[in-house]
Amino acid sequence: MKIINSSTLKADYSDVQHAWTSKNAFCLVSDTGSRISVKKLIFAQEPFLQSNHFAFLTSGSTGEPRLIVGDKTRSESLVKTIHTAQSADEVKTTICTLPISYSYAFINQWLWAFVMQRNFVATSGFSRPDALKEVIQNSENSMLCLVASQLSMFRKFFERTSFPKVIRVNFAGESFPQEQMNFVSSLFPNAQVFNNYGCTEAMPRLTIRHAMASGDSSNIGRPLRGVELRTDSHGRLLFRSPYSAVASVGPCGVHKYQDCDWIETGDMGEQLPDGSWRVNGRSNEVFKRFGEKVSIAQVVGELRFGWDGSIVGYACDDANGEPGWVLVASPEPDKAQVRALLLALRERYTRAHWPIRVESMESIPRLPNGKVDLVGVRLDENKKLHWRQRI
Amino acid sequence: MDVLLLDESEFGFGMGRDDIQTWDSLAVVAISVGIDEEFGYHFSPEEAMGIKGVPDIIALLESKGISFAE
Repeated sequence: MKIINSSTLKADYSDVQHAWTSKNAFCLVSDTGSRISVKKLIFAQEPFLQSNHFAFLTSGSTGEPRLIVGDKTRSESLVKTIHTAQSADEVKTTICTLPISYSYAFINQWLWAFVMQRNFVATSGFSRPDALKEVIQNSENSMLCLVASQLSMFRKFFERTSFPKVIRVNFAGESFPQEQMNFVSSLFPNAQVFNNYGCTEAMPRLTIRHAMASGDSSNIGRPLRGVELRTDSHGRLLFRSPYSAVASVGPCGVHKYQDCDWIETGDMGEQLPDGSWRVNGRSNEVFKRFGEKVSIAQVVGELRFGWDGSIVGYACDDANGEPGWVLVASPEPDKAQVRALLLALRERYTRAHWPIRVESMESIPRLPNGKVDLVGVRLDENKKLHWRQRI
Repeated sequence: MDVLLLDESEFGFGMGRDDIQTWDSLAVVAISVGIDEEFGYHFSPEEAMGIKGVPDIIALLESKGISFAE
């Protein structure tokens, strides 16, 4: 298996194209450290990795490296399905602002451009904001694939700018920024905006929702053609997809997925009466506290509407061992802002849903793919305490 | 106020349990812990359950020689 480091790719990405069209399997990684993890993982598993396979290294916020193995034919089918679902025929160029080793950037952007014969423009993202601005301003009929946390960078660098040539904007990877749609519309006045839901095991898309189809940031819309969703008796969201990964490789070996397998998304979910689906948070972030079902994502999602900075929550037992969670705001809120957050909690939720503490950090740490580094948030010892429940 | 998430303008020393929406069964525990931490007095379960409002808390503390005014 060939290991491709995304930070040393040729400017025209011809090495990625060669890997995609060649007989050898390949794995995209983001740095040298991941390269070592991949080598360890594939050492005993090489016979399984066939010519039509490719892989991503994922560890999410758990720190446990795993290879998620995809099938090139299945992924090419997926990008055609996404293309149809987004009516993306008029899109000429996709502008990449995320590491290509991230399945979202690779499938929704590089592979889409390759299969649909469109332009793929790699950028250094917000490490070179002027260059990024120029590319977005000058690319006709373009498409962006973003994560919600990048909006704070758009605010910082391009607050009063608009990009009328962008006609499709996708969000994925973390909670959809429904509360910022006015800002998104001012940035991209001619764009259709989509919430894309999935996970790396789905390689990576499962559903799609137009931003205006719901006011609920947790609404993920309907499954893509061919994709099936269901929940188990615990409310965990499972999927079956003709585009999904074919295996995962972890320290315990290879786990092959069969087409009939229902695979866990890692989220809790529910189907709404109109047929669309709603995600209620990560499986390990939905729990019972004093007999009430608490979803960290749901509470945090509602509080975001009243807070200009970032808000995240992480699971944490209280002093009595009862499951709970901690709210972390950034930047540091003043007393009145803490009060406003607490009053918003009081208005919407009973005490069992309130965080056991309200803390703040100067900035919320992020993983290279833009997702919140919850392990980093949890372990940071410099968080400031603003309020706590006396239980 | 901190325990019940009340705004300063909403709080009154004469308020009863029924006046405060957030004064639920868990709040009774939270008030007890808060009193213990702030005043060093631990309510017995009977005392905690007998509290019907802010005046009861003040009276109970004063009966134990704790001046709430301080």
